[in-house]
Amino acid sequence: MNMTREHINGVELLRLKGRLDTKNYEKMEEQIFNEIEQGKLLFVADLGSLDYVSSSGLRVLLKALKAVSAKNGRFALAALNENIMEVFEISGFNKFFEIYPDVDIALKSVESSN
Amino acid sequence: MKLSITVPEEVFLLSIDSEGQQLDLKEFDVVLAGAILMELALQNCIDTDFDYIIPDKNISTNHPLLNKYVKDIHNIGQKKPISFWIHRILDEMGEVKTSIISGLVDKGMIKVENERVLLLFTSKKYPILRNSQVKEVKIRIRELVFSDTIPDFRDLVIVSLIHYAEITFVLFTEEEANQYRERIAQLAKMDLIGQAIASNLSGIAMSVKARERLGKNAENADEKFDTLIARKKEELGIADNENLPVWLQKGTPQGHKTLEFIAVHDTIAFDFNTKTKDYFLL
Repeated sequence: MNMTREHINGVELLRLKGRLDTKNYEKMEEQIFNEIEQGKLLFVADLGSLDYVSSSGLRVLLKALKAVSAKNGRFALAALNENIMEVFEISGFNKFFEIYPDVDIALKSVESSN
Repeated sequence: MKLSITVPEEVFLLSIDSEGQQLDLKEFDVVLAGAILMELALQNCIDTDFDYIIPDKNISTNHPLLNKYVKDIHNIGQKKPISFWIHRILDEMGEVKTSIISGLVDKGMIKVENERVLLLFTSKKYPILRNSQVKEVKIRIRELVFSDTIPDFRDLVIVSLIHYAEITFVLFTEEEANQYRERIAQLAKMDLIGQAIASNLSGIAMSVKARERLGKNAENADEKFDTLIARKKEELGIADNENLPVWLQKGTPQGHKTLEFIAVHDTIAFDFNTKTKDYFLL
């Protein structure tokens, strides 16, 4: 999986591409929690190019959500494709996350918390 | 001093009543097998999706039972259906229970008492010695269910197990279980192993009985699915599983539904309508 980061109007935009699974969930967790430790609490994860997510990937996303929420931050997801959305719906993770149809809408919403 | 207790140990403790008797619980062995896999996932020894156990870190867990399965999973070295490992653990359930019980005895959590019943046989009782720690687990899980907080995974897997094993009564009154039914179900489905156990429970139970009847040659749903995949690959001239239609890809939500269909109908003589997403028997 490839993850790129951009800082847009106070929000950390994470773009995930490929597979989020046993090969890379730890690296993603490390990067996100480094950002959180630096005081960044507003995140949008663009999952538009994510093909597959395993339970360890779901766990990392949930841990990040829990960590930023505890500090009144936000961790939103955007642009989930049909397969990934189905994973979130079947697992019930969609009930905990803010999920937006596209990145711009997600950014506008999360920016408003800044 | 608070002891570290594994998920299978917690589940075993929850299955013991106030008299130290183990509750007679439907499919408890399957739940215990699931608990072992959940503990391995929590310790990052395995990863999972809707259908597969995928080897992750080959590390020592400080628990001989868990280490045995870390070794077995890594010796195979490739992903295998969750039900494959459930069956493997079920085949060794005698040793598994002995190991869990002796682990709890060593930690001073329970003792084992032999009780002579009607001079005919002995039954065992497992009085809990460190009740405060068990109570703490119960309080923590109850607080999770009664609130809308984002769960920790260690608590979530317990909710998943008691929900899918239909033993919510070990933690909740009937009123509470009814009042918080939606929250319990929502939390329960977040653990993919729990979901796999639930959807495979009847299939696993059937196939366990079938295997007892027919020996290890009885095909279970996963093996049938493998046969179907092999046939379709030949029909469609596909070499790579990733190029199969999504309903034939294990590990995807649609593939999971295909597996469920096979388990329920015990056949691979069916087809799938990609537009309506319906399965129909041939």
